[in-house]
Amino acid sequence: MWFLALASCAAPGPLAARAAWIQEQLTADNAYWLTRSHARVEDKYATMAADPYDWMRGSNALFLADQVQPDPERPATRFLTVPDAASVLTIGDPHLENLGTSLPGEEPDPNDATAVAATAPMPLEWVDLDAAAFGPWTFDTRRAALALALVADGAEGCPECVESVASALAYGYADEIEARAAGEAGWPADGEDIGEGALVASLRATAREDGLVSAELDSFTVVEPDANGVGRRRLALDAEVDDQGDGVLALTSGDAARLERVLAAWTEGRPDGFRVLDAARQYGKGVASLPATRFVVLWDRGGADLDDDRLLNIREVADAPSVDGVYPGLGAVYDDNADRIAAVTEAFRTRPDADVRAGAVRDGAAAFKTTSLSGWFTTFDHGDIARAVILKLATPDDLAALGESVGRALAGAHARGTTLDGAPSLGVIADDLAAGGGPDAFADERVRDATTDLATLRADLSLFQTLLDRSGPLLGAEILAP
Amino acid sequence: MSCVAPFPDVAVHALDPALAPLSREDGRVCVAGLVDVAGRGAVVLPDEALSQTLDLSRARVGLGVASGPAWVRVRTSATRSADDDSYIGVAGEAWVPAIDAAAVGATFRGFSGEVGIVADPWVVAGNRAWGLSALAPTFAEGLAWMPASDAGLSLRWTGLGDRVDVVGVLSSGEGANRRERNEGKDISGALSVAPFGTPALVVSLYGRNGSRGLGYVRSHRVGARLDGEVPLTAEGTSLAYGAEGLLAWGIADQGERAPVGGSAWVRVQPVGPLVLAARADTWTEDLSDTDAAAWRGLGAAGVALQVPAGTLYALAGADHTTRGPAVSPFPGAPAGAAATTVFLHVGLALSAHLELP
Repeated sequence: MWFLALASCAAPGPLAARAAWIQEQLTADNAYWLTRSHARVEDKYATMAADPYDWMRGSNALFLADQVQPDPERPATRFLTVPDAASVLTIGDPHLENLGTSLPGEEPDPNDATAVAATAPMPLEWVDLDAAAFGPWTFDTRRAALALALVADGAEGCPECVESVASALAYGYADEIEARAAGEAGWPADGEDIGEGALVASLRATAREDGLVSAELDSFTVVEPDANGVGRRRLALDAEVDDQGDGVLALTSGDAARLERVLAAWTEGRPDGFRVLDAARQYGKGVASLPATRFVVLWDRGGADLDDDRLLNIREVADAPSVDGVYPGLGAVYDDNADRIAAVTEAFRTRPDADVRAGAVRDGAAAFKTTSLSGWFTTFDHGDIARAVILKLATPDDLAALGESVGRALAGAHARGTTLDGAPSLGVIADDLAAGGGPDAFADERVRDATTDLATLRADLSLFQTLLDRSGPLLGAEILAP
Repeated sequence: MSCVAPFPDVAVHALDPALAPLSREDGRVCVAGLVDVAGRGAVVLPDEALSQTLDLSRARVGLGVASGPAWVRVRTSATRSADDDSYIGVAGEAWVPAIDAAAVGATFRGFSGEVGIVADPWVVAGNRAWGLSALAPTFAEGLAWMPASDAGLSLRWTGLGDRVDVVGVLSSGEGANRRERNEGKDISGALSVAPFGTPALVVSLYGRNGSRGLGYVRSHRVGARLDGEVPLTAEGTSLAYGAEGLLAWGIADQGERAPVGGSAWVRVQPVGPLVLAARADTWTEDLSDTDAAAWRGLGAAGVALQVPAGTLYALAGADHTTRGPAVSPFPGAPAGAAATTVFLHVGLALSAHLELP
């Protein structure tokens, strides 16, 4: 093998160099998960390789690292000139699957659900804040624009959709920041404005429908008679994970012990009379966090019937992507990841009761978050959006309206956050936006970057697929087995 | 024959004690220890993140034992168990000891060899010449272009009245803090010549053929250095100087990058315990593009007091870095492109030995 050392003398071709860079960045980003389970990381990589959007979801660390690498070819930004503009609280990974509906307050009793569904406000919330950290506000907008551009790129017969959706996001974001900085109330996240388009309206309708019929509860559970012939609900378990690594499995003794500790420590969002009816481990959910430990808990408040049965999602949270120069000083602000998740959830949500089950728990060095698991809480699905466009259920204007809504939701979240120094982010972003040339300049930059980021993403996916073929399902990281 | 000082760099000027090979040719056993701790308070401008910091610059503990021609040595340095942006560490983000030198070796008639976690000859010699690595490691180590030590083996020959020193190293290429990730091994060589047989002038050349990471990213280096230390008066005042250049092919897991950098420094003790030091570094990703260059200037003044078995020192100064638009974190934006750190740095470096019958 000594020839390998000598072979490395030659300058690598651009593709080989890029492939090695991807390999190292992904391995470093998944180092924590690799110490846990190689099988889960293999599942994650396989998921990423199968779909461009899932590749994007699983490669956020690569996306961030690319932004800050020394490279004379990088186009310059006109923004981040105002002090603290590079250290505002960011979502970290604001793609479509991390934005969804919520149902403020307690979930209604099924007998009242119809009335609730007709009237309940259903704000759009950023629901996955695992990557939240202090960084440049522009990075969130660039990431969101890439996610939208990727969906729009699949819209047949609309070559201009990438540009229009990125532009709509930018103008929506800029307008929202300017309005809020001027003292206006800003875009209501639960406004259900007809201008939000068919895609956003469809998401809200789906959530109402699924919430109304307890679709999520029914999909995870079965009802069986107990010894007295009374119907009892339990989680429907799989014998093992399927070929895609998906499944809901019985708890191992280790899982059960951990869940018991987590539930014992859970206070924020814990309802009175909380009683565990059943619990299981869920595999194959998510992309970036696919290897994380995830529990599904069936619970109630002690009622004799099935009406108060609910589901709780408990999921492990790791660090935000670690990229030198992007997130300075994060460690000085929060005690640990549980503290981080609790704080950023409080900062970003549109109202305190957006998800009354939202909480964070520490279990030794690990952190877990709790969220409602219910049809009322439904996030965008890029596949559904693509299908709607292909089937002409949504128009290019609907895509642009979605982009604007995402931009406004992002701006609203940023506006509620602070800088690393604790100052309100809104004024900093507004000043920086103006200093960089205002909405038009911002939109130009977002369109420019979305176009190049999209091309880079597709090329990287091809390299990643080749790497998996060449180096194995862990990109060669098998040799790092603990 | 006394127990040879195992850490010969503990002196008035050299605040950077290093583990050196031990050997005993008289059949006795020599046990040597090293403690090197420094802390600092700093203010970073502009205030983009945390601007006022109190931190541990260094906490090293070393132990070496020589018995006849054979010796072993181990050194640990404190490191944060989690990065600045991570919460997954030990007991929070506690300081933990990391082994950065651990080797068994032997010396025989000018030849010495060691195996284990061995020092990179370029980095160690550079830090020794600069003499203030606890304040700021040499630019190659500080920019992570070179690890200070790595798993491997090294062979050294010193001869011609200490005028010539040749070192060859075979190492993993990953640095001491990473496991081996590929079958390729780094081969490094360093040649130092002191034409007058004194430290007043030393000329060094260095080369490395290597690879890093799962992707066999090339990691080659070529460097040259000229340094020296000359006494100014019989009272112990002295002047140390140096300049070095380093070319890299493949860096930070990016095989296409080929940056070039250089550093020059002067450190003088003009009178009594007063110490003055200045250093300028520059590096670029593209020699033809001024936007791709960065530079750093560091100046410090303070006192270095000789105490039994070591040096107590305090230095105050400023450290400024400016990066061109192409190599700043956010191209075109001032954020992260320039920073000035004003610091007060206090340290104590001690080295002692015990001779056993």
